[in-house]
Amino acid sequence: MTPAGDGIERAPEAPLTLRVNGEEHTLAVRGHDTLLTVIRERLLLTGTKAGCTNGDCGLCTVLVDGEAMYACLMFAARCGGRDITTIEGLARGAVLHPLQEAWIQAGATQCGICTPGMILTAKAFLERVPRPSEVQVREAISGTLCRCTGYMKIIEAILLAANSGAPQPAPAAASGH
Amino acid sequence: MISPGVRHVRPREYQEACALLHERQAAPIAGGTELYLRMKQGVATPRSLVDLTDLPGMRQIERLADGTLRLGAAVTISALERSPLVAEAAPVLAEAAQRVGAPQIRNMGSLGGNLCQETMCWWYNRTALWRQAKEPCYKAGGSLCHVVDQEAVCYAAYRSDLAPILMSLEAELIVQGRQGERRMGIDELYSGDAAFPFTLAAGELISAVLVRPLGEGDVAAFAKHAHRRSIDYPLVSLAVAARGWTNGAAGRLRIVLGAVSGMPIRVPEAEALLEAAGAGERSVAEAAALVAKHAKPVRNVSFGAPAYRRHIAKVLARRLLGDLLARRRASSG
Repeated sequence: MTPAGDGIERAPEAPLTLRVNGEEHTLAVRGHDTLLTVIRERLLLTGTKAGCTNGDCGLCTVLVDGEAMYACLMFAARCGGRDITTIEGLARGAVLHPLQEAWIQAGATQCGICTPGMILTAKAFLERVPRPSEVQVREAISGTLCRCTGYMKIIEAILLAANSGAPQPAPAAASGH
Repeated sequence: MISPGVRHVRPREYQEACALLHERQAAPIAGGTELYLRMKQGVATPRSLVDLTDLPGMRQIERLADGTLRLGAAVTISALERSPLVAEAAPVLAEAAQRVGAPQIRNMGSLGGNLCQETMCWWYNRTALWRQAKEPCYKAGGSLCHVVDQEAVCYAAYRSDLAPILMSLEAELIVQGRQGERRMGIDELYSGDAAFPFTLAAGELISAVLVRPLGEGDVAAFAKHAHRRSIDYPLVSLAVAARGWTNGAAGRLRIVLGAVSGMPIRVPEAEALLEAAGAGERSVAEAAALVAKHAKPVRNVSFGAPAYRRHIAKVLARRLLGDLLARRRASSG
């Protein structure tokens, strides 16, 4: 932290309204806070994982207005008014999202740390490409690393969800409202 | 360490944005993927971040009345990938966009940000502690280079994936400043000095990129070589665009190398060689050798020996140029 009296101007902590999984949170964020730190440390939604925090690994992937993005590279102050979905926003009570079901069925989780990011990446992808080829799936998850290298089961799970016939939730309903 | 006091401002008008950017220690931001990391490394220390995404036309892709493809500078890389207008006017640009970073980066990063990507170097883009351990280099405001110490210049590499293809397509930029708008060729964006790679003045910003569409008889291609198919910056990239190539006209070729210098490098000798009527297989080999000669990679990236990168430049050139020539021959036969 920068010591006081360093001559660095401090903007007052600006209150900001974040819409996460359909719920609005008004909180003061500092200029350097990332969406990742706010989600994990302020909203205590620890399903979103922190990995490299340098935009290389994809563990922190969340959906912003329906698109997969790295929360570690995103200033929280710029997220006001945007629709944010984290892994906590997928299940409806005890009813899991079709992708979560597919993950269990395919055994696509090993250590589990890439799972939230992978599932959210897959969700945004399947909404855009509902019946993808395996190559398209590989490309879609190429920004999220699984260090157990369990990619085969992950690809299997995504294809399973795509082919399960379970209708993908429409984009509007998918943001967790 | 990023200052908690960094200000975020989001102007709605160009005049306001340019005035804000003209202030000391203000930086423009759109996707922020690169800027955030530079701030974290301590190589960028802005006090205020001027968000450009709400400026008029910044996020628009359109075809102008004369057919020109107009790309707002804050258009995301994925929007370029998916745009039917881009697919129709310059499909090669969508292909190049598809090779930028990773899908999540492309959902965040912008076209203008990709073009204004700072030059980088294995030695420089590290933590502040790492840089403090040695004398500062040119890029860090010092007067030596830790990578190549014989010459008094900075050897950081410009590694934008979109710049080479846009340069081969002879794209133009709309630049906004406090005195209004100006238009310039994309080649005029670069100073040639890797320590200060861009010619934009304080308070100036790119608002749009204009691309003359590829028409009948035009051919363009792009190749990127990186450690992995996704995520990584290029070790070498090559873009070629030929106008009036397969319709019996004289043909005009542009060959541009990326990631091996402080700016994209055109190779006019190789262009002239292949533009000549009757250029054959042997000219492809010669042109590829010229391309490799112009690639002067140095040890500024991790895990990419200069000789390897130069060799790859030759391989990419042989493939792209060989294909280009084959297409001209097929069209004339």
